[in-house]
Amino acid sequence: MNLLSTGNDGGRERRSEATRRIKAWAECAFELPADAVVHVAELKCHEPDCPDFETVITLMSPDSNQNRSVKLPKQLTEVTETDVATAGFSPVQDCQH
Amino acid sequence: MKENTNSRTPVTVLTGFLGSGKTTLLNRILTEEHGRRIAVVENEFGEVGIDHEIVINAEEEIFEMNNGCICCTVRGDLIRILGNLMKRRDKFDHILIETTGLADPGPVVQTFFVDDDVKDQLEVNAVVTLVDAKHIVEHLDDSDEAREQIAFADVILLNKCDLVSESDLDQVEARIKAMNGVAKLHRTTNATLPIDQVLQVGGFDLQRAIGVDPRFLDPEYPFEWGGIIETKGGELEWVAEQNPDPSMKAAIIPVKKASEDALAEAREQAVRLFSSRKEIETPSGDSLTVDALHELVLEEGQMSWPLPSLSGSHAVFTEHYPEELELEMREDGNPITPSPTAAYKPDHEHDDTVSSVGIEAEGECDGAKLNEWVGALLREKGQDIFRMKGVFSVQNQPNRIIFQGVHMLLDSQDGGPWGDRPRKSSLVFIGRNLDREELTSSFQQCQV
Repeated sequence: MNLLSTGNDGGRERRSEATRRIKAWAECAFELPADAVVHVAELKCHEPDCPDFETVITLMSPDSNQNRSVKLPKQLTEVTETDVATAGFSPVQDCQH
Repeated sequence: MKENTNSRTPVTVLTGFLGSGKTTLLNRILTEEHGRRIAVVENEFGEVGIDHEIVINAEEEIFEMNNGCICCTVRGDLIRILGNLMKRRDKFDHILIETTGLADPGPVVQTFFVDDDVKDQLEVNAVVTLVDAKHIVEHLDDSDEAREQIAFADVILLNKCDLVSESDLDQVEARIKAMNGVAKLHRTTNATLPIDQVLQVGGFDLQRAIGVDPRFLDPEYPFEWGGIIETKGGELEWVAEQNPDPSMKAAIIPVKKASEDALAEAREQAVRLFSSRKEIETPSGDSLTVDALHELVLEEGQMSWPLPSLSGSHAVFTEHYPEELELEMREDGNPITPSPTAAYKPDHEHDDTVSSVGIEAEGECDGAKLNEWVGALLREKGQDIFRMKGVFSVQNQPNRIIFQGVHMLLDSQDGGPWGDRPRKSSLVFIGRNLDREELTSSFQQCQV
């Protein structure tokens, strides 16, 4: 995996579009209230034996106790509408560091 | 209103311990005429009596994202607030986030690195840390958060300067700069300074870092001065006029001739001598010897030391600048003028585990090796690296690669063509327990 990719090949734009797409699918699929926010993060793993990417989608509710999240074992540009609609979201644990 | 040439909305993160003057600065930003419409996200509840600003209260809510290897904590409250703010982006042109006194800036900054949609719309312009000049020393001794707030800063306001003597300020400033050599530091009273120096910082700029400390990228040495003396076998002594420190380490190393190259060669030997764990020889009546590290104890009344009778060229290295002690070497009573001489950036002897390391290397890196090096670094040291920033020059890449990292997250951007500029990589790390030598030598191995 190229950690130093600058997205010059259009990758950055594709990733932003994919992020916005996932957010729109999630808003539609879960009928989120207007002040809820969808957060999408692609985690890159640097360990040689791990899968390279995981996409984490979090539904941020106005009441943080209602936050739900799911991890999909793929790049965010590969996530489909069906992936989002059928994903098993689970409650997010707030943590203190 | 000022024209925003960057399509991303700038974000200023305001940190600092309770009592450091954050609220004073925030009120100044909100009340002064600066032409910006600012959305303020504040943690501590309270009314800010400004009707043309957006003020939102936030409750610190940290959540962790990890996939086994990568651990990344972000601020859930901020994600939600920023997400909703971006739906009315036309209402403001700058966001200011005030953190609580005890907030860890890491999750706040990481919040801007993980979501591509957020990265597209928002940009951390600067982390501004306010420091209470009177109490910071005890905070630095006791608190991880205080150290991290210094480490993450692009701008530091050493505030309440009116309550502290000039010499104490110098000491505090030296300690802060040893931790974060990149941040621009302003001495202030009542957080008074032109607002542009807080709101218009212009992101990370290595040239600014070098402007803050022109020797930022220089390697550090366990001594401050070195020079070559030529002697004829006469009676030698070292004479000091002042003794500001109780002792000073020094070493004398034979060299073939008085040249820059010979001094550089001897310098490496001196590093080994100064770093060796061998007991230091403290001359007491006996002469200093060559090829050994000596501790000159500056006792009341004793201001000179006999030296061995030397013939030819010798490099001398001293822990402090000779000027500090008005130190002079004499042969048969006549002063000797060392030549060539060199001043070295001293390594900072302090207890703080937080420090900054700068590396600069001319030429190009091997892309594959560099990628592997960065991956290993983030994996193994990511938790200890608060921020990393800089420019990579990579073989077969016509453009500069500008990168920024927070802990285990890294973001690279195209910095435009190198053009006629000499190709070189420049890196800065700010973190905990950083090993300058190891970072520098492992990076050197990525060079073509």
